[in-house]
Amino acid sequence: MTPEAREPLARYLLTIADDELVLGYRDSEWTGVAPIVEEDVAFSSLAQDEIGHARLLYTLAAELTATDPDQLALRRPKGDYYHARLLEFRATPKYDPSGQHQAGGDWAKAIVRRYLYDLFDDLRTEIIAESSYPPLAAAIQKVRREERYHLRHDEAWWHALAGGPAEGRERLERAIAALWPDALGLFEPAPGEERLVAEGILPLTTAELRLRWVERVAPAFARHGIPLPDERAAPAVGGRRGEHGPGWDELYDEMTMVRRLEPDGAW
Amino acid sequence: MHVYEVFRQEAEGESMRHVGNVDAPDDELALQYAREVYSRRGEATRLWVVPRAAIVEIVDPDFLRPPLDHGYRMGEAYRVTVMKRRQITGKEASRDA
Repeated sequence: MTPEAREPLARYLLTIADDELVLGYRDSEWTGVAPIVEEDVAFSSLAQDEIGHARLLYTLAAELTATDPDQLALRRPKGDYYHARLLEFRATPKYDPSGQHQAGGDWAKAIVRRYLYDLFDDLRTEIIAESSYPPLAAAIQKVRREERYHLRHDEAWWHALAGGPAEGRERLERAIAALWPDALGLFEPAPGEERLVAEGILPLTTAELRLRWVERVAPAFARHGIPLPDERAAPAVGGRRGEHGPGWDELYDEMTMVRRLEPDGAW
Repeated sequence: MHVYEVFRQEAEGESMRHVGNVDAPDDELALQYAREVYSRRGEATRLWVVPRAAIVEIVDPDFLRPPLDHGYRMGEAYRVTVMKRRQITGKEASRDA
């Protein structure tokens, strides 16, 4: 690896790690409120897996930037996180100690987000496994062994909602319509990806995965007669540059709360 | 939603043992839930999930523990066996020994 590739590689690693961390946090919010108690346990476990993947990638990024993984995960400024915007909104109802809980959460949204993201992540990790940077290729091969089961979980729920009673199907279709532009935003590249491709650290840019993703997504829609939204619709971009929405304001405050109270606390 | 009974093998070559059950909408999720509940810490080398509806059950004591003495059907009940066992163990042989 040339010295010029270090910075883009660190940025690319942060981008993936942030995706996993943010989805892990958001999905962990289903603990206690998933549709059945077994799913509660399973979904929480998936969420913890994602945070484990984030930790692995932050560790690799920290080695390149001479910092530590906790610093990267919890002590960056709010605008220095590069996850896709799809991953940051809250899908659960929000608990409020006063008893005035906020409704509006939807399991179908959580499932659509996970499924569309995991299909993308499967393609992304497939190419990263071919990376010429050995620590990254080795780490991602382990990640893929867990992600295979995440996809099986997502698919089971996708079929259950799409083929189930009318309400599940309606919620699924509403969630797809609402999340589609955000899902297309997954293909926004991280700055400097061309450099990584030129050096063989990355076989393809993120944008080049889009057609492959559509080829994976289309049969899942077709199988249940769900119309595929327009793949040329305007994607919700900005996430890879640190531009986010209100979902991120809320999540950032919450997930960094303890760290901000006691910045140098040790656990 | 269906109930699945969960069986677990804890080491290669061991028998499958019943460990409990899970509720799940289908076979795939039943496997995933069984993993979460019964092999979270890597306790299993293999899991089976069996829809409870597939289990054929009998709980009738008339059939399982017949009321009449069936000792005459068992080798252990022959007089010579009883005598030999008493010589070996020094104790009264019984069917449960």
